[in-house]
Parts: sequence; structure tokens; C-alpha cells
Amino acid sequence: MSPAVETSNFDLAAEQLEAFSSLNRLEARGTLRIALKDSGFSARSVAPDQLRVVIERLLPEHLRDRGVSEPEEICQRLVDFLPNESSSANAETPEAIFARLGSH
Amino acid sequence: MIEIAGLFGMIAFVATSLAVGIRILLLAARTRLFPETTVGLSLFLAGGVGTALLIAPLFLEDPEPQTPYFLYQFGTAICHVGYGLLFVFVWRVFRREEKWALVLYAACTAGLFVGAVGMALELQPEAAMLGNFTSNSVWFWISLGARFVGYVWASAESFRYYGMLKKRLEFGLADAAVASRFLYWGVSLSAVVVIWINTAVQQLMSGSEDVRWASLLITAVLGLLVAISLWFAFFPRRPKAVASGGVSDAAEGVAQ
Repeated sequence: MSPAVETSNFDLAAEQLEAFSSLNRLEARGTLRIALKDSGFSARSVAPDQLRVVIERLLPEHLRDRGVSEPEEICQRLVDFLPNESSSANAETPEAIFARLGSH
Repeated sequence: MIEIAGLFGMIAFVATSLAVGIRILLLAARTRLFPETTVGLSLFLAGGVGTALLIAPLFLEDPEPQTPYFLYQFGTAICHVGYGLLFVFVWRVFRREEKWALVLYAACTAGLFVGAVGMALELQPEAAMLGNFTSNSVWFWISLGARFVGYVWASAESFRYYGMLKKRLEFGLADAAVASRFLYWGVSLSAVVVIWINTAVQQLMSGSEDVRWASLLITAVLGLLVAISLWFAFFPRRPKAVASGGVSDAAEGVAQ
């Protein structure tokens, strides 16, 4: 997966978060970025299926902390918006390389 | 006794580097992929063959006068090639998109090359015969500085990734075995960083007998630490449980 595509996964989710919630562009991007960081991902390299898990499990709490109403519903809409790609089709991430280095 | 312990640590380091290097190179022969080729060659050359050549004179009884000189020259050259391969691995695996990383990689590699060539041209056969392999020259310090920066970078990337994967584990988005591989590799690289610091202290205080003994002891401990952590990092063990779920399975797929 190219960096441009990786960036657009985050951008797409942040744009939708801005549209679905009361957050402005900066708040939406910042909130999503913090949720990603808290779960060990960076906006540059997160895959859609990973982003989906972060949105489902971590983002509602971050949105609630920022006074956004109905965070679960917003996150469900965000998840529905994401492309159905799997990270297993990903290019060479460090974890994929290190997994291979220990394989039989 | 301390000399024997120091030697034991180095032998453990060489043996493990060779074993792990060969194992990864066999993987590289199957996959024909760049990361395993570079890191496998790096371990095989720098930790294995190169270091073995450097300590070989200690095992030779009454060698030919030129033998230590040639062993040192070949060993140093091979080690430097291995260090350079590690740097290219770190750059390509962790930071291939970032310009600062390319600059850092290029600077470290240039330092290695300049230092190695300078050290090779500087060493006189007579000095090598007397066991004086390294001098307090600018070439030595350029090479050591490049090694230090490159290995600090490598260990920082490894620990950073371990931290990220540890967070992902809470969500079932990482493989515990892969996370610990980053940790152990970081530990082995950090031990090498301390070896470089130890080398620098030894060089700066070369007249002190106490420093020499302390340095040997540190080398023994660090050699063993590198050997153990490399072994744990790259010899596969039964993976620990990963949290269940569709996405976890996908993440596990990446890790396999």
C-alpha cells in the first residue's frame, strides 16, 4: 500500500468525523490522531481494518470526553464508510518483516 | 580468569550471530526479499565472520608475523560491511519514506566507509604484530561514531515499535511473539551500543590496567547479553495467544 493511500484512510475518516459530529476539522483530525496514537498506530501507516478497530473501540470514549453527543452512532457511521481492505494485503510493514524473520 | 570470561562472551556472541545470520539467510534464499537478506548478512558478517577474524589471533600459537595484520584488516573490513547492511535495513524497514532517515543513513554509511578506509591505510604490520590494532586516530573515532549513531538509531526504532505493538496487543491488533522480537532485538542492539561506549573508554584510558580488566568484564557480560537476546529475538518459539476477533485474525495474518 502506498503512503498516499495510507494517508487517505486517515483523511477519509477524519473528514467524515468532521461531517458527522460537532467537531471542526482540526478537532476531528486531532481526536482521531490521539486515538490512533493511544492504540499504537500512526496516521501515516494505519490500515483500514486497523482503523476500524480503533474507531469502534477507542474513538467513542475520546468523542465523549470532548462533549460529542451520540459517539457510538457516529463511530458506526464512520466504520461503514471505511473501505473493506485488509491489512494482510499490506506491503512490507516492520511488523510483517519481523514476523517473517522469526518464521520457520 | 577475566580474560577467559571476556573470550567466552565474545565466542557466544560470534556463535549466536553466525547461527541467527545463517538461519535468516536461509529464509532470504526462499523469499528473495531485501530485509532478510540485509539483516541476515549483517549478522553473519559483522557479528559472525568479521568478529571471529578479529579474535582469531588470540587462539593462534606462534603465528606468522603478518597473520594478525591480515586477520585484523579482513575482519575490520567485513565488520564494516556488516554494520553498513544493518543501517540500510533500519532505514528501509522503518523509515523508507522519510528524508531525514535517508540523510542519517547516508551520513552513517559515509562515516563507516571513511573510517574503515582510514584505519586500514593507517595500520602498520609492525604495530599489528605487537597487538596494537587500534590507534587514537581520527579514522578510528569517525568509524566508532558512525557505529554508535547507527546502532542507537536501530535500537531506538526497535524499542519504539515494541511500544506501539504493546499498545496494539490490548486491542488484539498485534502478535505477542512479534512484539517481543522487537524488544529482544532492541536489547541486543543496545548492548552493542554499550560495547561501542566501552571501546571508546578503553581507547581513551588505554594506559590503565584497571580499565582494561573492567573493559574485558563488560565485554564478557555484553557479549552474552547480545547472544541471549539475539537468540530470543530470532529463533521462533510457540506464539502466545492473540485476542480473538475478525480484525485480530487479519492482523495476525500480517504477522505470519
